[in-house]
Amino acid sequence: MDDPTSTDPIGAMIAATAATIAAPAALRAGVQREQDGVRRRRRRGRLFGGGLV
Amino acid sequence: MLGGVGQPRTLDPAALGDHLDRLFRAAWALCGRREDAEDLVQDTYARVLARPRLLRRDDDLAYLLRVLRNTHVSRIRAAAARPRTAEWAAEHDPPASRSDVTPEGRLEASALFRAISQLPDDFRDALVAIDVAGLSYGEAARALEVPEATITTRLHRARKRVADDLRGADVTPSARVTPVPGGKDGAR
Repeated sequence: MDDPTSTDPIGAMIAATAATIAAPAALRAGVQREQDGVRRRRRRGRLFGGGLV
Repeated sequence: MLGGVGQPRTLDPAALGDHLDRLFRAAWALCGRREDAEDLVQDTYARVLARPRLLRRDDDLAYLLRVLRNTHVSRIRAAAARPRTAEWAAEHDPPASRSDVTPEGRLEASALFRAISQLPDDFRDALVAIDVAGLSYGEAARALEVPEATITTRLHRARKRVADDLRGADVTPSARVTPVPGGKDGAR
């Protein structure tokens, strides 16, 4: 797999700065709730409405 | 991770949380503001998890990034149709929740993401995909549905603009804001 940032100093700087950022705990909890909702729906055997993307 | 061209696979909801950090970074770079990024990521996951998803070409992160960008565009269009509110000054943003990030790191990230968010859309999307989200050229090209050569060109131009913008704004560590201890507003 190619690594576009490895040889460009600006790209490397952007990547390094971005890497210091983690998703906030509240957001992580919110996403976890969404995933838990999916699990609950599956356990209940409810198929999602609509077709597949 | 890649299902291979023409080999569809179902997106695994349980694995989507693995990409949350990278998606949040990408969202912040798209929006320019941390609070908007949180909303955008939450909306993106809600959309993706609303029903089963079948992927034909993308890996999970590339797919999520594409949904993130499309959700961002939809939100902008919807906001354009509503009365505008006053912009909240960036220096009033609350500090990031990650405790091991230095004050200098937070200021630089905010300034960086603000600069990225102000790029022309095509440049911004390429830079977010490659430098912020960490996709390869091929993954970014598939996610953004453009040729790899186009990604390369847009990325180069985007990086140059960001560097020029940051240089002009002088957001080097020597120019960082010193927090006021005990202050209510602007304290970090």
